[in-house]
Amino acid sequence: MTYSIFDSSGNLIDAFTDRAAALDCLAGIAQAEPAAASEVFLIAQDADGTTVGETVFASSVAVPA
Amino acid sequence: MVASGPRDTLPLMAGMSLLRELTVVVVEEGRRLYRVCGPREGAGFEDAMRSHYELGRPPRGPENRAAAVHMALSMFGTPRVAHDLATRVPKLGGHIATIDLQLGLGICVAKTGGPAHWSVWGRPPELAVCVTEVAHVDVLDLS
Repeated sequence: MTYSIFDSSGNLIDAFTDRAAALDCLAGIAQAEPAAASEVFLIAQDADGTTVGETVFASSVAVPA
Repeated sequence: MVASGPRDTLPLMAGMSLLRELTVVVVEEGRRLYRVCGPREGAGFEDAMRSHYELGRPPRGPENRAAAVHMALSMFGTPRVAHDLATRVPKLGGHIATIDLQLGLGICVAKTGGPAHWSVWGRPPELAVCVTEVAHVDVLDLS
């Protein structure tokens, strides 16, 4: 499985094979740039490139204080 | 959804990124890729051929680590993957550009990220010349 982070321009920001690492990356972006949180999202793809699961926006990822 | 502290895990995240080694290839033969975008007749369509860097967007997180990613466009090797992305995230524009990359325009590509994802570098006017079709996701030919 590949977890890719894109923004609203359709350009890739980063990609991981580990979901937790991808979510941490997403949270880091939300923390650093809260205004962009609704523009940055995570998708998961299986080995065939089929998108699976929910699309996760940075705005929905809680960042601990 | 709760993620662990991003600051503490930043070095680990960088180590786990798939974007750590890029093999950049100059386009020397025709190659067809697909990009999610808005309608061709829309204002600023050429902006759809611009990277975050060219759009004046600051580097976000991992883009600080890899300027090549900040300066790249995302495209896909199959229309279905682009269609999936466009359908899931309508704010991307709801259209798919078919892009027939031509040699001699200074365009470079690298296979990066997930399945079928390519990073592309090129000057926006030259990339725009390579756009052969822009179709709404509802009428896109996925064959």
